Amino acid sequence: MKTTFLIIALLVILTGLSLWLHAGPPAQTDQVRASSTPTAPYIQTSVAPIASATTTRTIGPVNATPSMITVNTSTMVTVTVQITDPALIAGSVNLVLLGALGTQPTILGVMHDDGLNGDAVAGDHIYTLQMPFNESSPSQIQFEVSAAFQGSLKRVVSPIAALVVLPGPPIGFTLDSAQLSPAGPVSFNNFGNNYLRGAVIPPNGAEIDGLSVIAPNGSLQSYISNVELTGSINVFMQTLTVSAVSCIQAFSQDQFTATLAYDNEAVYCPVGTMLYKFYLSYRDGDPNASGYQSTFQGYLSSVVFPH
Amino acid sequence: MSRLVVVALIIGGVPVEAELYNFQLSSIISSYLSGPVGINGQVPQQMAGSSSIFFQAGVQYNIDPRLIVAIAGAESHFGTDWGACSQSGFNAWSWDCAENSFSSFGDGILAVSFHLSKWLLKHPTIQSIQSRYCPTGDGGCDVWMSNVTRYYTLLGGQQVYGVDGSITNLTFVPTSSPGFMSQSVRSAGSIGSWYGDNWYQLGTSFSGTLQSLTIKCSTDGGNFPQLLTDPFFYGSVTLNEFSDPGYGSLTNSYPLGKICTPVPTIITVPNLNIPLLANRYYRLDTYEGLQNASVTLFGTNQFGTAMWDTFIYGIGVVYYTYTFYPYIIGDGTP
Repeated sequence: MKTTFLIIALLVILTGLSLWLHAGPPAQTDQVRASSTPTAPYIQTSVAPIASATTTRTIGPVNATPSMITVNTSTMVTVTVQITDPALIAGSVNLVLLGALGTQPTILGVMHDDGLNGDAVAGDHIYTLQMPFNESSPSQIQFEVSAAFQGSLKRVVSPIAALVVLPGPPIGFTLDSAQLSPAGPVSFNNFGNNYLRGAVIPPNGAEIDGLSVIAPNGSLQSYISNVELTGSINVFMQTLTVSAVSCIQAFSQDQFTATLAYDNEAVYCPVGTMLYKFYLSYRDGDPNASGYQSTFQGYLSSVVFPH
Repeated sequence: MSRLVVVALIIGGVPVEAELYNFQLSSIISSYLSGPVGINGQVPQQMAGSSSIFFQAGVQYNIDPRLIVAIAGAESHFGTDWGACSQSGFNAWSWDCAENSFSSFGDGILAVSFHLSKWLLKHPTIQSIQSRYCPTGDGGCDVWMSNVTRYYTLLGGQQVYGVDGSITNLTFVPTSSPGFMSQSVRSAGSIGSWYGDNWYQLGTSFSGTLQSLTIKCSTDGGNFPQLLTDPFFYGSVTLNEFSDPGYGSLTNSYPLGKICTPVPTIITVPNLNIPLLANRYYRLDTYEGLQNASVTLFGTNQFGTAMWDTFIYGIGVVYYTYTFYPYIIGDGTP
């Protein structure tokens, strides 16, 4: 009898324990089911790792305009990047300056898409930061963009972009600062910017230009022949190494009228996705031609390309 | 500053389709210069008639011909204001007047286009052209950029920045096969003619060999619709070639056949092998074989010029003109 009582008591305890254990989880399930909005903390926490594992966030290439500046000249540079991913967290797009290997990157500022302070169009998913650069020696400045996305634990970074700092004007030449517009070149001339009406180089004048463009598709030699040298005569091309980059050097002549012709030397250097172009132009028959060419070669020898 | 100007231009419209752009550009320039744009009235005939040379120079030197027209506008009101250069030198661009005079506007167009095409390789914006072509402080240069931009925009040009800051539209890439006579359908159709001919001016500066042509058209039967069960009475279309912008001197005629059926239909005429000449003017002519019948070409109502002419027994009277471009797709080799 006593044993029977103990067995019944044990069964009652076990049944109660079972009911208690069984009752816990359903209460939590009902709570989750009731939280149907996607903003419920419980739901967000559970999906975050899945999104992180399956979604690749990308940031478009970074562009700097101008992409070439010259030493000791404060130049406003506009840096843009396109980010169309709707998961982008507003205010998280940073422009980051990369230092030498092993050094800590520096955040230059927050890029914005509000149509203000250099941003061309608000809401076009092109983020912009404008800031002045003034470097004291030929070099390259490298930077990247980092941004945060919903559902991603780590910030995403862009491909690295570069701003090339060119040497200052050669002796006898001056910087044409009016050309330092967003898409303009770094331009020097030896005639005090006193072009003849129509942007014509005056007698005994010479002009040196450097700029970069997105590298054309296809063969570089074909691009040079079909686009750059259209209409030119007396063309001669050869390879030339500039700052450890294999470039194409092209000599040509442009006969505009019976009395006006330019002699040109152009150097085209492909680096990554960019094509860096340098030009020397002066009037055909100029007695100082060899001096201009030497000056141009000296200038090229101090150019530093990104690697 | 330049970016603000550029943004305004982008907002002004959508980029023009390349095919449409090439197809109409010479006609657009011709129409514009034929209007009252000179400072004292009409632009000199030689300038107004140079649209094909502007176009040719654009193709030859990879430069948008509208830019050269626009600079002529800013510098000399398209050859009507000779304050800077002498009138006898045809230098409507004030392009180093002291050294350069031309024997014709055509010579000037080619020389200035060539020079500016080289400049654009290094200085790819209107702003950067201005700073040296006509620097602020020189006579009239304070408004040079705004004037060039205005004329360029009026001609349909757009200075558009790419994401990388480069300019995409000042240079000129001619359309190649097979889209070099393309035109999309944008409206129901033209007004049909009555017992006579319609003609639809296509303009000039076409080049290459036209291999096939696609047109959308229809014909009604006029007083005898029951006869349209016989293809013999379908409306016909001919591509005519003229040597002058007034379409007065016919130099070649290429019948496309009786292709316009009672039901509006897009039809392709293959195996044409028609050589198109850049200095010729082309016109589509329709003809219907039944009294009071009409041929309708379908296409846009935005561009071009069509004329409705009764043309009874060879006596042509233009009753109606309106802007129109037919549905037309050319397949050819450049």
